[in-house]
Amino acid sequence: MNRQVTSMLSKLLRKSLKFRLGFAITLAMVLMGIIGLVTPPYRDEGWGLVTPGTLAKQGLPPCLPLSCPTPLHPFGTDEMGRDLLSRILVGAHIALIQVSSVLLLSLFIGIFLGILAGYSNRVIEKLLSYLTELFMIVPSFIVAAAFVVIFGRGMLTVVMALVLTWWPWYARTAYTIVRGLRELDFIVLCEVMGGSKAYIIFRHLLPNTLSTILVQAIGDSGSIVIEMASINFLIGSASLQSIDMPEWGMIMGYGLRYIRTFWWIVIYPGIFLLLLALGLILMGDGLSEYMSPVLRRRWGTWI
Amino acid sequence: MLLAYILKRIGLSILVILGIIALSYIMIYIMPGNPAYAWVGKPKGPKAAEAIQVAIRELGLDRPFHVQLYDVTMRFFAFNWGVSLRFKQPVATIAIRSLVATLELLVIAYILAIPLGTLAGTYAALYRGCLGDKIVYTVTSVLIASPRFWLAALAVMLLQVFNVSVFGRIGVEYQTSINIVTGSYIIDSLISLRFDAFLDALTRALPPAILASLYPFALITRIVRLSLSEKLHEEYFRQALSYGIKGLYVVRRYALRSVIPVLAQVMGATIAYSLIDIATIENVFGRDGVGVTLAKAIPYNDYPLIIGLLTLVSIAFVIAFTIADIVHKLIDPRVRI
Repeated sequence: MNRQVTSMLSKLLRKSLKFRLGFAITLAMVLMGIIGLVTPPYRDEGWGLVTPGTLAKQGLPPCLPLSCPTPLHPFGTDEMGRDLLSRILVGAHIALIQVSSVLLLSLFIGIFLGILAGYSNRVIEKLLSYLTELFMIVPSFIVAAAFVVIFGRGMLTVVMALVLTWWPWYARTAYTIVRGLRELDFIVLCEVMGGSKAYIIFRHLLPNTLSTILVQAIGDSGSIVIEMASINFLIGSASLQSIDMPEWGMIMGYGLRYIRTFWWIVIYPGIFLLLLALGLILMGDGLSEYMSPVLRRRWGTWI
Repeated sequence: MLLAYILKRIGLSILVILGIIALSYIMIYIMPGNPAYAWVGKPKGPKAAEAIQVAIRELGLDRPFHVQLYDVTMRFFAFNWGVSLRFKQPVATIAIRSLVATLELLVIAYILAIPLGTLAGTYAALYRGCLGDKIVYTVTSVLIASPRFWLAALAVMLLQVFNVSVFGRIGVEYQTSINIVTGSYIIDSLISLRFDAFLDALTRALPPAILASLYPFALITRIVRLSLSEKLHEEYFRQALSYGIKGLYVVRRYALRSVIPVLAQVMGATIAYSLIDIATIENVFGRDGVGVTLAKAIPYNDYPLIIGLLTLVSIAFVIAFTIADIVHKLIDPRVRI
């Protein structure tokens, strides 16, 4: 299994330009996250603590990028005098953790419930389809707002709200695939030969659904990045509790009120958000083109 | 058959709406500690105990759960959703007002996005692999990957350079001069025949609407590009070409038609993402839509308003999806529940 994955990866990297580009960008982001965790230029400022250095600068306007007194502030400082580059670097691993946790949790819930709906009795099928329909409708950012009021602000709150509204898409895909599979001969034969339900699910249904859904999930992860940042931008920065979390969306949300004079606070985190999402989207596109032979066909028979 | 489908679909939608109301009530119920305490905005001071008593009576927390659920459903359909703590007005009024402002943007954005996206997608599919296709692909990928509120911030900076003011929904000088009928200034100014106010409202709505249309535009382009270039390889297309029918005519008459169901399927998800985009863009442009109302409600712990918005926006979605499904069914007879 492991060797299969590595061989596929190397093949993809060799063949698909999109995948190579996306992979490189994502890898750079992961590296950024590691740098942010290990040695950001100003660690305390990056995590949002108020240091003596920032206290001395309080009340002064933030310094412009590239014209700061020290060369260590290439992106300038934010409204509280903290180094923006450190905050962005520390925010990188937070963004990555958020995306992967939303993706893994909603994949787990979605695939589990989707297979359950597709391969059990009719009552459960109807009930789960109804639940899927219901949670697909509920807008995630308002759920996030409600959760912020209930549980207080934090990364976990937003992740929970997003998982709650994201799993239905995977559940629906898994359900559609399983419903198609369960009529096929090899599943029916397996049942006739006395294979248990758990055996059929883990040996046949799960591997067959997994590849499609994983490809879909990698393509989706770019949207998760944007949606997460949007929620943090709108909801996270609205509550006036504390402003220490170096989440990209939240930095932009707080910076928005200074956009007319201190534009760099909003602009720089956005560039990194764009890069991360672009990397993930390109990776997803390359992967899905590789997986589906229809998309890989040579074009240009017409014209 | 068709009628049966429509009835079944509407029945399902009503079930989903009831489910949303129940869900919103469960969201109140799961609050740690005393739900009544959070419902009145976590009060402190001498009047706190009294406020909590009022909230307990309002929510009916002293009665069994199923009775509360029945009560809350009845209260919902009577538009009695409580009073907003931030605005000191009935929640229903504020929620509907902000939803109308958001829908205004949504409608304009989709009016722009659907034809343009279809055009760009068709172009990219016809010239697949050429330079034009590559440009379209790159542009749409970047548009999908860029945070739309960031683009909105860039647009605000740009407009600042040119000294254009497009903040708010309508100029102050017009605000009192038109009478409110629908809540949408664009329509209201037309109803009261004030064309200067109409132009003002429209110019203020256009920049955020264009920004909001970028995401659906990019997505529609990509979907049309993918599914149309698949269709162009099918037998009927080659057959039609070999009969000597003009290529563009075949594309317009047959191939594009078969893309419509694919588009209709993903439209629901697209609108759901667009809503977040519009909420954040509204926040940047200072228009009083759902996003701004939420952002204003959170510092006050305005729970009744948030729950009211959650219910209302979800129900608006249900209605929109139901209509889309029924229209989809009318166009494409193959779809079944």
